[in-house]
Amino acid sequence: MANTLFFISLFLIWVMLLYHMFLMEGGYLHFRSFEKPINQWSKKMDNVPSVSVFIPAHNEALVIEQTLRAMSRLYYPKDKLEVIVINDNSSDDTGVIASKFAERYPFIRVIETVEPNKGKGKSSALNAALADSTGEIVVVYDADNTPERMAVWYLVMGLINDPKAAATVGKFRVINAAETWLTRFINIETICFQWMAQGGRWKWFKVATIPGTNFAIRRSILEQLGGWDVKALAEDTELTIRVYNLGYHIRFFPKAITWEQEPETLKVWWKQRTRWARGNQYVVLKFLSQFFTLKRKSIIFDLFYFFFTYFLFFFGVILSNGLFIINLFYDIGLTVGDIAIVLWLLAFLLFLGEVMITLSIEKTEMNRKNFFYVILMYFTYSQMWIVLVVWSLLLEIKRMFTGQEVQWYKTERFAKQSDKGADE
Amino acid sequence: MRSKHCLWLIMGWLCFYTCDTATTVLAADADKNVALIYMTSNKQPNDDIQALQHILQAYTSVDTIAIEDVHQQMLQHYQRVVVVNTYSTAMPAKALDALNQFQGPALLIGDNALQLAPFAKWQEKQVVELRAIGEEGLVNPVQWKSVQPTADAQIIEWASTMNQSYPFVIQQHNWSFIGIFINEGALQYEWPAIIGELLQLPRPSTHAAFVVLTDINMKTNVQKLEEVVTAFADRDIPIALEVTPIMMNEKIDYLHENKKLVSYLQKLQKEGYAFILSASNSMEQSLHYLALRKIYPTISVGDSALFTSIIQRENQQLYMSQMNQHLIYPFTAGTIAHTATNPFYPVKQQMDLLLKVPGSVIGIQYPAYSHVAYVQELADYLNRHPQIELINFRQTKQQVKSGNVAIVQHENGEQTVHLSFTKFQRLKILFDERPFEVMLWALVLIVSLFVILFFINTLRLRITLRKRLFEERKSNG
Repeated sequence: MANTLFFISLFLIWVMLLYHMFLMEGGYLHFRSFEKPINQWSKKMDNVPSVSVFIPAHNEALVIEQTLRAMSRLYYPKDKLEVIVINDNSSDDTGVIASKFAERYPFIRVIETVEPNKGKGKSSALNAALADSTGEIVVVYDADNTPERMAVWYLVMGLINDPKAAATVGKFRVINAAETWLTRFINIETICFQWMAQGGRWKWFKVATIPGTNFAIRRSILEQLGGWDVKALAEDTELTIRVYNLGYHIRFFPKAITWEQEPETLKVWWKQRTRWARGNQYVVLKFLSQFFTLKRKSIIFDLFYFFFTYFLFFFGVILSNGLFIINLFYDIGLTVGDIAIVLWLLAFLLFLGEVMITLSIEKTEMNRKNFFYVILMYFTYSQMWIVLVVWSLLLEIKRMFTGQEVQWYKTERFAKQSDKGADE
Repeated sequence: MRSKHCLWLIMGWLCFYTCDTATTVLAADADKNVALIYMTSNKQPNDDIQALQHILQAYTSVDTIAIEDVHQQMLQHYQRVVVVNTYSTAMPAKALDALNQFQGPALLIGDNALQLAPFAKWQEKQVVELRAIGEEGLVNPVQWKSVQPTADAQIIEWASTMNQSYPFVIQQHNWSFIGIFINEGALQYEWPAIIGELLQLPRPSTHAAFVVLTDINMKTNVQKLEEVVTAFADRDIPIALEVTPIMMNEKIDYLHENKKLVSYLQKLQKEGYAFILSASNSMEQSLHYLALRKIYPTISVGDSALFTSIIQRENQQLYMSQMNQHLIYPFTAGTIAHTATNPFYPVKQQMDLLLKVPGSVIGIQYPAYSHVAYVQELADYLNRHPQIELINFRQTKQQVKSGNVAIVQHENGEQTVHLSFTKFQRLKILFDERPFEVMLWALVLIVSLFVILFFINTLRLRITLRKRLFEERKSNG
C-alpha cells in the first residue's frame, strides 16, 4: 500500500518536473531565437495602429506617479497613443496625481468608474475603459508598472507581424528585487516562470498566458469576447482561455519589458498569491466541463497543466512528504530504496539547473548571492507554495458550497526605499 | 586328416569360449542380490512394486523384472527373490519352474501362491474383509482370499476381520508369503523390517537425515532466521535453506524487497550453506533471480528438469530414491508445527516411526518463522540416536543447468558456478522483477542528461551574454 502511494506521488510529481524540464529547454531555445525577426518586423512598423493603454488604479498614490512618468516616455507616435488611468473608487491621491499628468500630456487621460462597476475590481475597471476608448489595440499595465521605453512598441510589433495572434505578452521584471528576502525570491520566481512557462510553452505549443500586465490585445477580439469576466479573480488566465477558444493564439515576446513592484511582506504576498491560486482554480473548474469541447487542443493541454499544477501536483507533494514523515517513525513497508534519494537529489539539481539558466538569461541576475538564494528558495519559498495552494483550494471549495461572492483583492503597494527614507 | 583336426580345435575353442562367457556373466551378476519379480495385468510395475523396490533398495541392490522375462538361468544370479502378484492368473510355466527350483530366501506377495510348489499343499479359503494386520488397523477394510497353510508352516503375522484371525505372513522353508501388500498408515513403517527379516537381509545400521529451514521468502524476519541459523551452527547441525525468491500472491513479492534478508542469505552462501529453491512461478525464473543475486541453489523443491537433486514434500516415500536422473530426497519427518503447545512433538513421533524402518531417510522441515528453542530439542533427539547421520548438501554431488546458469556442487564442498546472461537478458530480468524501479532509473538517466545540458547552457550564457551586456543597454536606451 505504502509503495503504491509512493509511486503515485512520484508519478504526480515527476510528470510536472519532466514537463517543466521540457519547457525549460523550450524557453532557452526561445531566448536564443526570439530577437532574430525584429529587423524584418520593423519594416511593417511605418504605419502603426492606434493604441489605448489601460492602467486600472485603486488607491495607487504610492506608485502611480512613477508609472505615468514611464508612460510619458513611451516610444510610440503620440497621435496614435492614449493612456487611460481608470481611477476605481480611490480614496487616496491617485486621481489627483493622474490628473496632473493628464494636464501635462495630452495623450494621458483619467476616467472614473461609476456605479454599478465602481470598486468592483480590476475586470470591471478594464471593461469601463474598453467602453470609453477607441484604440485598435489595447495594452494593459498594472498601476505599479514601469514599462521600458520600447515596451508598447514591441508589443504592437508582435501583433502587426502575427495576424493569428490575438494578443502579445511581454516580460515583466521585479523593480524592488533587492528590497527584502521575499522580493529576491519573487524576482527569481518571476524570471524563471517567464522563461520556462511562457517562453517554453510558446516555443513548443505556441501557447502563452496573458499576465495581468504588459500585454497588448486587439480591440476586435476583446469586443467579440465581451470584455473581461468580472467574476474571475485571475481575469488574465480566464481571458487567455477564451482567446484560444476563438482560434487565436497569444504570442510571448520578451523584448517588451516592464518593471513591477512585488510584495515586500509575507502578508501581502500571501493575499496576492492566494488570489492568483484561487483564480486559477476557478478557471480550471470553470472550463473543466468544457475540456473536450474547446476548439484549440493546445489550450486543453494547458488547462490540463493548470489542473495538474493546482490539484494533482500538490497532492503528490503532500503525499510524498506525508509518507516520508510517517516512515521516519513507523515502518510502513516502503521498499523503494536508493532510487528515491537519487530522485530527490536529481529534483533539486534540476530545480537548480533550470533556475540558473533563466537567471543567466537575465545576465546580471546570475550572481553568487542569488545562487545561495536559489538553494534557500527550494527549502523555504517553494514549500510555502504548498501550504498556500492547499489553503486556496479550501477557500475555493468553501466558496463553491456557500455560494459566497468573490472579492477582488488589490495588492498592497510599497513606497520606494528612497521615498521611505525621505519620509523619515 | 589335418582339416578334421582343425575342426576339433575350433569346436574346442568355441566350447571354451562359451563356458568362459557364462562364467563371466555369473561373476558380474553375483552382487545382484534381490530379484523383484512382478506380475501385473498391464505388465508394468505399479506403485506397490515401486514402493517395494524402494524398501529393498534400502537394504541392497535390486532388479525389477516382469515375470514374463523370468527363467531359470536368470534366477541363478540372484541370492533372493520377491514375487509380487497383483491379480489372480496362471504364472508363466518357465517362471514357475525357475521359482520352484530357487533355493535362496524367497517371498511371494499377493495372489497365485498355491501355484508354487512350496505352497502347493495349502488351501484357498473364502474371501474375507480384513480390518487389521497384526496390531495395525486398516484405514479401509480390504477384501482378501484367505489361505490355510500346512501344519509345518510358520505363522509370522495374523490378519483379522471383525471376529476372526487368518494367517497372513507365513514362512515355509526358504519361501515366505505375505497375503497382500497394503502400504498405508502405520503399516508402511512395519513392512520394511518384516520383509528384511523374511529375506534375511542384513539390516542397514544408519539413517540418513537432513534439516531444511523452510519458508524463507520476502516476509521472513531476518533476525529470527539468524537466531535459528546460529543455533544450528552452534550445535554443528548442517542445514539447508529453502528459499522462495518470488512469491505469487495477490501481488508478486520479490525477495529483494527485503534487502536485509538478501544480504544475509548472500553471507550464508559465502559461508558455505546449501540452498534449496522453491518456486511459486517458473523454476527457471526463480533460479535466475537467485543466481543473479549470487545465491546458488543446488536442489529444487518439486520436480524440475534443471536440477539433478530434488526434495519432495508431498511424498509417501521413506527413502531417498533415484528417478529419471533425479535423486529424490523426501521430507519424511514433517515440519515443526506452528502450534502453541509442543510443536516438536509431532516431528519426534514421526522420527520414532522412521527409526523403525531400516535405512529410511529422515527429512525434517524447520520453518524459518519457528522459535529457536526447538533447535535444542531437535539437537537433543539427534544426539540420543547416533544411528542418524546428517547430510550436508554442500558435500553431496548436485548439478543445476538452465540456459543461463550452470552450478555444480562438488562433494568436497566446492561450488562451480557459470552464469551466461547477456546484458539485454539482465535488463529484461530486472525490468520483469522491478519495472517501476527500472523506469525510475531510466528517468534518472534522462533527467541527468537534461541537468547536464542545463548546466552547459548556463555556462554558455555566462560566456556569450557578458560580451553583449553593454551593447544591449545601448540599444534599449
